[in-house]
Amino acid sequence: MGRSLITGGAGMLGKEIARLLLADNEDVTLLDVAPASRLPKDIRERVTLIRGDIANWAQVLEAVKTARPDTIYHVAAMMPPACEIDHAAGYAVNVGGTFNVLEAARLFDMGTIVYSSTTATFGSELPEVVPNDYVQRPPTMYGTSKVCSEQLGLHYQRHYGLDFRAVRFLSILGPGRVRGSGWSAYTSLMMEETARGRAFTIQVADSLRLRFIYVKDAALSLVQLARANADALTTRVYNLDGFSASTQELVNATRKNVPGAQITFEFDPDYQHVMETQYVCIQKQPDDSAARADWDWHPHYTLDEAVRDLVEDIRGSLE
Amino acid sequence: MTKNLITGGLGFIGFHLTNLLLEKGEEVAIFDVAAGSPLFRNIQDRVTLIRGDVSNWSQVLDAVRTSGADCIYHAGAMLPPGTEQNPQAAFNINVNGTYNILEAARMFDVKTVMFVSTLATFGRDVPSIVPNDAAQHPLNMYGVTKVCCERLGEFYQRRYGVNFRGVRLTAILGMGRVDSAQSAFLYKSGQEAAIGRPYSIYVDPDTSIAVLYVKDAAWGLYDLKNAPEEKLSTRIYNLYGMTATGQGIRDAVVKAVPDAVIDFQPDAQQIKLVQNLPEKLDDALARSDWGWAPRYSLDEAIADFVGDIRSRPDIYA
Repeated sequence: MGRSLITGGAGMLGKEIARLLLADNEDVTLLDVAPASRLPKDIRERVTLIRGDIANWAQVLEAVKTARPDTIYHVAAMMPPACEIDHAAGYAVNVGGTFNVLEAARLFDMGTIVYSSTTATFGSELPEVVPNDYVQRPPTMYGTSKVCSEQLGLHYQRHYGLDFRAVRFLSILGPGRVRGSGWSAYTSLMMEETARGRAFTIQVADSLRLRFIYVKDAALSLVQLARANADALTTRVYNLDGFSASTQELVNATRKNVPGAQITFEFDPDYQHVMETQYVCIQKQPDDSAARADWDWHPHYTLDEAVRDLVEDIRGSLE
Repeated sequence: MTKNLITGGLGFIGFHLTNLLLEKGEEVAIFDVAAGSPLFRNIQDRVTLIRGDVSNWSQVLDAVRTSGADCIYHAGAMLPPGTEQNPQAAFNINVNGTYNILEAARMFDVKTVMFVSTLATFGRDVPSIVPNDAAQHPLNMYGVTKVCCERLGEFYQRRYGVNFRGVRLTAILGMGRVDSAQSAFLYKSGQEAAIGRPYSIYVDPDTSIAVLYVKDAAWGLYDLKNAPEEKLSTRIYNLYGMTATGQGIRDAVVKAVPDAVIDFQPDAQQIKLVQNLPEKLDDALARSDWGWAPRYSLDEAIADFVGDIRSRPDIYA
């Protein structure tokens, strides 16, 4: 039976990783700043939650020493806009936190570290299809901190032989996305809020087209990569693609799955500007051929399936 | 065989402690920011040197892990006057450094952590013979950081069972001391005489100061480390060697080096600094709990010190 530690384990992505691992009877420990009350019951009763801050090295080492994982899923991070508003905190949590996780893994001879990076590590001038090894010149602190983390991980892999593996996600669509956890969170929130019977207002243009990955595909990709044969890996950081959708298509899919959903547009040019300039990274298509070839990656969820699953999840949590 | 890691091991106390531990047949790894020390020229192939900074937690943890130490002698610290000129660095090195050592000991199950504290943790408002449990109101940043470390160590002992033990030392005399703190005349008088140079003592003949020979300090750490746990009634012990006057120091140096040229050129400011230090620490607890007793009288200490200096013309000439 495998033993895993998930940093940010109480977050949207962390919870789905936990569910996948629990389904395989893995021994799962979560490290999170959030309290146990944030965990759904099906997870809460079957995992060990260690409350701690990845920016605090002693707490990270303590968690690794206690959990003795053979795989660490390092998905904890400070999201934009928080890390754009407070660069120091963004650096401490995202870069310092990754350093702490890598050091912990090295000092306690842990096995594999799987890291969730982002296409936000790419810049604002991108080709229509972004190669896996495309130059990384991010415009944001978030992207900058994630480039640093990728590079740190790669250094530990080269220098210490640490089994570091990472994927770059597009915007992740899923339930439980926290308000304020990213400018692109409105996409998930329009589905979640309307499923809860609340009205939702969108501030960007209906024509804005972005790319997404559903949270269950994202979680599955990390578990798949963690278990992939090391010999098959031709690189250590993999682009992943998902599906493309305009705001209007997101609204249509939401209305289809939440009959009577109240969604209105209140265009905010500033918001639109942020999306156009800082989120070019989720407008272009990541070339994920390496992930497909090396460890058989392919997404399972289409837009419609993702929205249906998300809405079902929210309705389930209301019961 | 005991594996020791000595932080600040290339320093003055670290050198004498290393020699004692090697004599006892123990293994020594040294953790120090310095690349090396001429003092270690004759024994460098008998020790492992790990270069690093105690305020860098991952370097500390790596050293503890790599050395496989079952005892850490934590002697690495910033000293005055540096601590007073840069209190922020003092806090980082002394307090965070000790925190890193304690965490490393906890994480890697190191059996014992020995800590070097100081009489500077006591302030001015203490009895002339300072009891082991006198209130600590230090007057300088150095003393402040060392009080923090003492309490942190005791906390780790209570909370995590880290076997933390420490000694409070007075001014130290011995080969390898290089600083110019207020007690520097203690070693400079003997060192200059041994080399054949004149020296002027900057305190009055009747100015008195508590002094401990460095080899006794090393013995104190070693004996406390090896004391049975049930004998200990506290975690930090005052150690006291003797109280010497300016004249007493001069007499002892002349006894060891008959042609020594030493006079007095008292400096009021320096005398005041020396008089700020407690004259005597009450070490009754160390004596009764684990049999502490200094092995060197003042005459013996200075004779041994002069012999050490003369044995190292590669450094002292």
